[in-house]
Amino acid sequence: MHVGASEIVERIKAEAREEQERILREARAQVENRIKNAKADIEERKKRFIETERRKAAENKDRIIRAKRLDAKKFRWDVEEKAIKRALEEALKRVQHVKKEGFKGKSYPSILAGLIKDAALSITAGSERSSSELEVVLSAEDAQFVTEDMLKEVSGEAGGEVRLSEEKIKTAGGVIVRRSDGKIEVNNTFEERMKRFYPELREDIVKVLFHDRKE
Amino acid sequence: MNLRVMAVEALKEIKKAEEEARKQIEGAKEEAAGMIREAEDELKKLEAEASKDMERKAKEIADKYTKEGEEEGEAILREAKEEAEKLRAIAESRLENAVDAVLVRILGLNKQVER
Repeated sequence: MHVGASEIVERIKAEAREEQERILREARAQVENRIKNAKADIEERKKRFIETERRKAAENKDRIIRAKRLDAKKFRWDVEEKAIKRALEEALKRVQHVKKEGFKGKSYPSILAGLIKDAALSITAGSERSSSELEVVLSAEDAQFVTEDMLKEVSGEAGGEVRLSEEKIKTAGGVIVRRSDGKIEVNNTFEERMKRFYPELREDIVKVLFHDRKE
Repeated sequence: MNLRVMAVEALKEIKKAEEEARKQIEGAKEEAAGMIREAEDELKKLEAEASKDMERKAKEIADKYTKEGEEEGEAILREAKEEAEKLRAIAESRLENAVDAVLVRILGLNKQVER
């Protein structure tokens, strides 16, 4: 081969080798770079994903605990509600005993007289004296505890004539007092008083049963 | 050999070298493309593995926190049940006092006392 041509051939070969190496070097670098970036990207996404999942799981855990705390409160409410119901039921049952033995040193007739007087005073306080003729309605059982003297005494204190009605009601005890024209009535039967004073009664019962637990 | 023949031979050699160089470069390009294809496959594999790994870790985390929540919740309930039992016993022992308190109000004795 001619010397010049041989040099050209060698140069072509050398350039081809260089080009080949460059192409492969660049490809290797590109591959290495892409994998490195992809791995970093995956790690970053993993970290964010795990953080999000951890937050979601922690919220779920809190939700479970909150629900159980609510259930726990329900245990206490349940005990309270049952105890309140029981105290009210027992109180109504005890009325029969009160009728026989009295309560806190007071006889049942004096208790009835107090209820009649309260009701009568409530009615006469808002009425003209002349129209304050009042009748007392009781159960047949309680009617036996009311005497003419008692009614006279209440009439004097209430400022209106109080008389016993022929009408009888069904009740565990207590009294209804109404103006003879029927326009105003105060229901002091025990069932009605229990309904009327229910919020206060609940408070009383809770206070006695559940407060000051050192007692 | 005369000059013309020598020149023709030289040109042939150069052409041959050029052809070989072209093939060599083509080969390198193909090899590079192959490397990139392999890398793409590896990336897909990495993504799939990462996805699986994340799913597994998410389940692990969810299970762990749920278990903790349930355990803590059960402890709260256990304690509340015990507390409720104590409360029930105390309430039972004080029932008569509560009945008295109810009677005082429904018999109207609180008002009578106030007066």
